[in-house]
This record gives sequence, structure tokens and C-alpha cells, in this order.
Amino acid sequence: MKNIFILLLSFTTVSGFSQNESKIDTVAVDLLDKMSSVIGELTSVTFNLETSTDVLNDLFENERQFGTHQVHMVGPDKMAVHSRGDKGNRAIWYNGELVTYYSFDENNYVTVEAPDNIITMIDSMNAKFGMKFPAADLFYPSLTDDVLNYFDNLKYLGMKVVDGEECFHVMSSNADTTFQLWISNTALFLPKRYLFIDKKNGYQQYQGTFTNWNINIDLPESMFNFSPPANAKLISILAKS
Amino acid sequence: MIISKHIKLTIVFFFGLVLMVLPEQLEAQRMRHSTGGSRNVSRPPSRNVSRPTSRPKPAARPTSRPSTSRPTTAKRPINGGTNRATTRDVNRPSSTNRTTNRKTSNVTNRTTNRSGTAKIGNTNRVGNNNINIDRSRNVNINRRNTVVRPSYRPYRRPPYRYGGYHYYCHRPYYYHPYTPYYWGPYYRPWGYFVTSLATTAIIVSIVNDSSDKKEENKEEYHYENGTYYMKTEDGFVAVQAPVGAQVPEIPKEAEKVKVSDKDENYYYGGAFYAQNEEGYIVVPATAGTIVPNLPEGGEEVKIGDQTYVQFGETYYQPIQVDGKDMYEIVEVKPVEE
Repeated sequence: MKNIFILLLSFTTVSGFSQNESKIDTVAVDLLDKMSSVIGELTSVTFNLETSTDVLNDLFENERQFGTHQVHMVGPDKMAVHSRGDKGNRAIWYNGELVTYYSFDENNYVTVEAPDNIITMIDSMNAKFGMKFPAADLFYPSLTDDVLNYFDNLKYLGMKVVDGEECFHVMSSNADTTFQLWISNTALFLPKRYLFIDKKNGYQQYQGTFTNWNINIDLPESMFNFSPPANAKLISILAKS
Repeated sequence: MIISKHIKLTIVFFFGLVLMVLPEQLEAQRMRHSTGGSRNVSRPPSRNVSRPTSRPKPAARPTSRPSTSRPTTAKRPINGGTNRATTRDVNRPSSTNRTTNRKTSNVTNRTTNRSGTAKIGNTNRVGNNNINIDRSRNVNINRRNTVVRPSYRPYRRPPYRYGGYHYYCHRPYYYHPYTPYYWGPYYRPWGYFVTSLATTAIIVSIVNDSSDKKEENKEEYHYENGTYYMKTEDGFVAVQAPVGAQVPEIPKEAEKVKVSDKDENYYYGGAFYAQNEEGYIVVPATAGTIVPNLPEGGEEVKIGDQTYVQFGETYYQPIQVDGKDMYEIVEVKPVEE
């Protein structure tokens, strides 16, 4: 089955390039579409994510910071993210009505009203308050179109092995950014690793590697409700604009 | 006779077999919860099992469940659901109520000008003295209470970027909770209310430059022992020190803070004073100035991943200096694209 799929991909590649001289590789498009369609059918999902992020430190050098994230989502309006790492120990709860950002290190939190679905909520919270949701880009229903619109080039780079797992390697790029994606060569075509390179800012890199995918499992609703710990302080939040 | 003996042996063998098998069957029966149809097992009549006498009947379950909340094959908790005592003696914070009633954060905006809007929440009333104020000491000055002057030296660290603005600090972010400080016995936090002031109080007039009708925009402050009051219908309420206010003296609890290589300000109750020939004048905060404490009236604000304390347009970044918690005044600049 795997060989058949690879052959199919190879054929598509040839036909894709033979029909026009575009820099868009139709194999890569198919892979992104396949991954997106699977993600789009998930009713619930949990996964772990290990991230590395370059930040400019006091020496004006790129310092790599690491983090681990546990992500839980239930469609259409439940999400919980617990993050640990160099940027601190923090969590986000979203129950369809409210989003709470809690810092374990500072024992303070902000709670704001939120839209009634995950993607709109992520968009809204990021635009208004700069909240970051790990690997959120890959869960947008319009991922393929977004990649095609934003990047000039899209190419399938072949089969690679990531953490012992066989993956399809896809790269897209423009003058500002390079985006690479490794999609697991399994029946579900779930993402295994992503990498963004910011060419305009000292080639800073942002990478994430997925592990422990669990799909369509039952999760208790109560886990998406935030209960403030003892002495936790509700504070204000500054809007970005 | 032979047949009768054979029958007896058969009966003895049968009873022996029953005695060997029956204990195991009785053991297995403990796990059987259904009636088992026509099986007739003789149980002891007075079995003492401590079960609640009022078990809920199956018929008590709701017959019309919402079709959207559960799948067709309803799953149930493995432990039958958590039992909770109705009289549990636990004081839960009010914010753990249903999410629809949960208090949300105040969403602030950088363009909001909160200067001069100190909360008037303290209803303590002190004394009942008559007012006797020397009006010959009125001063007309400008109002810029929360404007921050730029730092006297360049920043060696990259700024923190959020929402189109750069937040510059000389020292790294080090969070510690905001705890308002009280400057000695004469200190009065913003919002503190008194019905009257001492005779030593002076009047300081502030004129708002933004209006042509300066006389109509004149604001009178009453100064006493490091605290500025504004008159209300019932008395006087303590407010933030107005920039430009000239006062003859400040409390001895005022601390010296370095604002440049050459200059020092005095810091008391959240206000910065520069010394001059007439005494002390309230000056705007200078970015990069490090202060050991903050007064009441600020609010912690989440700005991206960091938490600052905001007073109007002035942001204080929590830092640590030689192991002691302090604050540095942030210089906020729009990002130049």
C-alpha cells in the first residue's frame, strides 16, 4: 500500500511538472490536502509537542529555547494547552465561552470572552492579545490554500526519517520565510514535525515535533474549565491595538 | 439386594460429588448479579449486606436526554461518578462558580489615558476640622501626570515587542507580585477620603494646556504631607501627584532615585520630585529609573508573556537588583517599520 502510494505520488509529480513550469509541486499540494482533510475530520485529539524557538537574547544573539506542550482539543469549542519550558510553566483553557491564560510561575491569570469555535478563538486571541497556540497553523482548515497564497514555492522533497518514523518532507518558501513540514507516512497522514525559518530576522528557527497522537477519544468536559488555584490573581490584559 | 446396594453406592457417590462441587459454585455466584432465569438457588434468608435502603430506582432517570450531548451508545464513568458530600466544609473561591458567572479580565488599551482617574473607593472619614487654607500659595502649572521621559542612556538589551510597540528596559524581566507599599504614618493612598484638611495644607492649581479656556480647566489640588487631594462634595479625596506641582517640602520617607548620571529625584508615594530653589517640584517619571516600591492604584497587566504594573501611561517592569525585588520604568516606543 505504501509503495503504491509512493508510486502514485511519483506519477503526480511528473505530471504536475510536465503540465506547467510552476514552482508549485502538486505532490506537496496533495500531501497537504491529505493531512488537512484528516485533521478536518477529527472530532477530538490530543498530542504532545516539543518545540524549539530562537529568541534574540541580551547579547543580540539567537538563543534557542525549548518547550513541551500537551494539547487537548474537542470539536468544535474545547481546548486545553499545558506548556512547560524556558518560557515558563503556563496553560490555556478554552471551554467555548471563555479563554483563560494562567501562569503557574506567577500564579496570575487572565480570562476573556472568546468566540465559539477553536479556530476563530485562536485567530481572535492571537490578533487581540498575541496569545500563541503551539502548532496552531497546521490546524487551520484552509492550510493548503494558505500555504499556496503565502509562499511562492512549494515542493515535495522526498521520504525522510524523523525520530525513526518515515515521513513525507514538504517545503515551501518565499523571500521572508521557509516552512518545512514532515508528514507521517501512516494511514492518517498526521504531521510529525514542522520548521519555520524567519529569513528577515537572523534566520531564527521555530520547530515543533509531534508525539503521542490520540484521535477521536472521549475527553471530560470539565478538563476545559479553569478553576483558579488558591491565591491566584485575576489581572488585566493589554490589547495589541 | 445387589441392586439396592448399587443404588446406595450411587447415592453416596452423588452426594460426595455435590459436596466437592458446590463450594466452588457458591463462590462464583457472588459475581452473578442477574437473576439467572429459572435457576433456583437457596440463599440464606437473613443475609446482612450493608446497602443503602433507598437506592435510586432506574425509573427515576430522565427519559428525555439531549440528543446532542451524548453519543447513541452512552458511556458512563468507570466508577459510577464521583460521590460528593452535600455538606462538604470547603471554602471555595467565588470564581469557581459556573463559567458564565466568572469574572473576566479588564482589557486595557494603550491609548487609554487613565491619568487623573484615581478610584474613589475609600470611605474612611477622618476628623471634623474646619478648613483653613492659605490661598496665597496657589501655583499654576501643566498637567502631565503619567508621561514618561526617555532614558538618559541607550539600552543595551533588545526590547520586548508587543502589539506594534517596543518595551525597553535596562534590566531583565523578573516577576514578583505587585504589593502596594505604604510610606510611613502620613502616607495616604489614592482614593483616601477625608472630610477636612489640616491648616497646614496648601493649594496647588494645575492648568490643562490642551484647552484654550485655561481658567475653566484649572484644577485645584490640596497638598498635605506628601499627599494631594481634590475637593469633592463631601470632602477631599487623595489623588495622584500632578506633574508640575511645586511644594515647599516632602516627607522624610522620600527616597533618592537615580534618573541620570548626574541627576537624582526624590520618590515618594509614586511621585517623582526634583529639588529646586522653592522646594520640590513633581516631575514626570524617567524611563530606566529603578524604584523599590509602588503605591496603591496600579494594576497588573499582562502584556504578551510578561506582566507589568500600569499607572496610567506608565509601565513598571518587575526586576530584581542584588536579590531585592524592584521595578524599572519602561520606555515604550512604537515599532519603526
